[in-house]
Amino acid sequence: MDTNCIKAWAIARSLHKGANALGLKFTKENCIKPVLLNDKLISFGTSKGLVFTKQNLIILHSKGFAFPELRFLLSSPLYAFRKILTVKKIGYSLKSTKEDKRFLTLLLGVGLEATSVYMNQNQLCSGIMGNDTGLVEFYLNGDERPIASLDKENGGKWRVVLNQPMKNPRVRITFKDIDIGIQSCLGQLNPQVSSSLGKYTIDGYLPLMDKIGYCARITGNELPILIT
Amino acid sequence: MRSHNKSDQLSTRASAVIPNGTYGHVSPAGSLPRHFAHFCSAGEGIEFTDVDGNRWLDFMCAYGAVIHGYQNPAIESAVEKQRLQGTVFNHPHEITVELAEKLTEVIDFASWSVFAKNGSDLTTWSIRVAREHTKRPIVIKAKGAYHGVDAWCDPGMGGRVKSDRSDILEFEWNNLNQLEELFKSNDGQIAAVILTPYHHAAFAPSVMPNEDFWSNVRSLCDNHETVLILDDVRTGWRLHDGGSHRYFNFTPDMSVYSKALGNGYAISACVGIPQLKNAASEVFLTGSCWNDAVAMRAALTSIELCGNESVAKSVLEKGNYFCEALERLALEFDFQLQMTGPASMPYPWFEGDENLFQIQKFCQAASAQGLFFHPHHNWFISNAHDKGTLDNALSLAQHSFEEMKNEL
Repeated sequence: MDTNCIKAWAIARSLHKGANALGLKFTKENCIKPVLLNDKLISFGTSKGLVFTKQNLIILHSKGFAFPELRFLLSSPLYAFRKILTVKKIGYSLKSTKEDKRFLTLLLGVGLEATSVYMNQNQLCSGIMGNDTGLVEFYLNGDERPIASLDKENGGKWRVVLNQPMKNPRVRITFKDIDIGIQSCLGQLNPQVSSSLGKYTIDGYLPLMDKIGYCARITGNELPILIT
Repeated sequence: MRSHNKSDQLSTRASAVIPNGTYGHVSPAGSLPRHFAHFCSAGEGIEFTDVDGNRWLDFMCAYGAVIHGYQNPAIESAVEKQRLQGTVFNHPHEITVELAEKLTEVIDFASWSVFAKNGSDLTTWSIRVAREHTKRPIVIKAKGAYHGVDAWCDPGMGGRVKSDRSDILEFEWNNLNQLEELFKSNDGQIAAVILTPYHHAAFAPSVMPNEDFWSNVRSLCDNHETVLILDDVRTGWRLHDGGSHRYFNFTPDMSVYSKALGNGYAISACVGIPQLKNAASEVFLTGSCWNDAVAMRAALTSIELCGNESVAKSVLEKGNYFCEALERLALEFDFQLQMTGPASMPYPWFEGDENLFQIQKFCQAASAQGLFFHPHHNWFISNAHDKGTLDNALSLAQHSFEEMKNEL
């Protein structure tokens, strides 16, 4: 994948993960799971109502608005409209001022999803990650279940799982509270300083988290949290 | 948890004016989480005090930079006398020559010596000397080995371009077949092999060289006219008073020292065989404060102490006593703890603890007792540790094992 393709794919996957984080129920009509149609187009869902060029997806991310491909939209206007509503809902939720756990899960979900795309596809990031595998869990202090997990099995790809306990984490990150988690997702916290101040703790195999953190910052610089 | 108020204030202030607040091996996220001290105020012998007034029984010795204890009286007194004369001048002080003479006297293969401030200054310079001598580009190192902060070897990820490592090849420690293969596939291109005396990577148990490792590495280098460089920065004076190569019974062509050399004063040295002296003369080397008479006086006194008090033998014996007792203690609580590497600088490893949760718990519990046990780096036994302090540490460690056991 070239640079723009990775960016667009990360945006599309993040939007889908955002919908998961918000607990939106999908039907065939409003499903926005991204599909790579060809080297120029990405469809939200298999029904092809809402299709963007990669370039327009990048514009959608940076400007908050971009035109979908009209020929697809006109062929299934109702499906397209429902999907647009879903995307708008995610965008609206990302601008929320309500600092609750749902918002944190949303931010973490979209941020980690974009990072996982970069770790899988971006040459620099995949080079940094090398053959590393394992499970990284993100917790809110006091919770028994992780808010989100980043995982890669041998021979697999990095993937993001929300709100599901899994087995044998290599790294466990615990945010002191929701506010800290949100600031962390928005890249407003310095990991070194925050760790020394106890704003979050990182336990387990730290070199893996160092690499993921570096990839997350590369991703965050190229794709700041979505403002669709 | 011990108090952190002033440490927190300093962390906050530091973050405003220093990238990451603190960085490198002392950074909190990379190695030492909240329950450890982050800023120190004083140290004496085997204890130091953090900025909040918490006292710590130390097993890191300034990450190995201190071997005779903090503020060793003999060294401080010699340093104080030197300081009265001055530190850095337009030209080297007489002590520079004295120190070079001393090093070439105590390091059996060395006929010359140069000085800088940090290990990295001279590990990087030494590979350039090897390149100058051989007129070849490639340097071989062990995978995961630390040789400093320069782009050819640093463990970080930022600020690097591909060409930084285009002439650096790696092999797995102890895997002589791999090393041989590298020589074969790059015949006539390898300037140097740079290695630590044993493999002391962070976040992993230490690995000693196999019995035939060093003799084979030496032979391979000889057969291919490649320079063998020993990075003795961390280990120097902790295994043998005449350099760690003697502990493992081989002879390198150059060795780099720092850390214990100055007992906390910033100094590094590279020594070498006569055949490399011309090449060493051709590779530019300087630093405004590198002819630091105070640090050199500290180094000279430190080397004399190491010889007079057989410090390497002493710290190995003390380390053996401590490591064996700690392993036995762990076993009493059903923990399989192995103190890997040489006993004077042991790396603690719980069986099956690949993800490090157990060692982190243990070190956290130990920190509450005032023990500075590092979860991801080898520890250091200094000559200031004595049986009393080691027994005290073992007694405090017992509480930490108890706490861990209760948490299960």
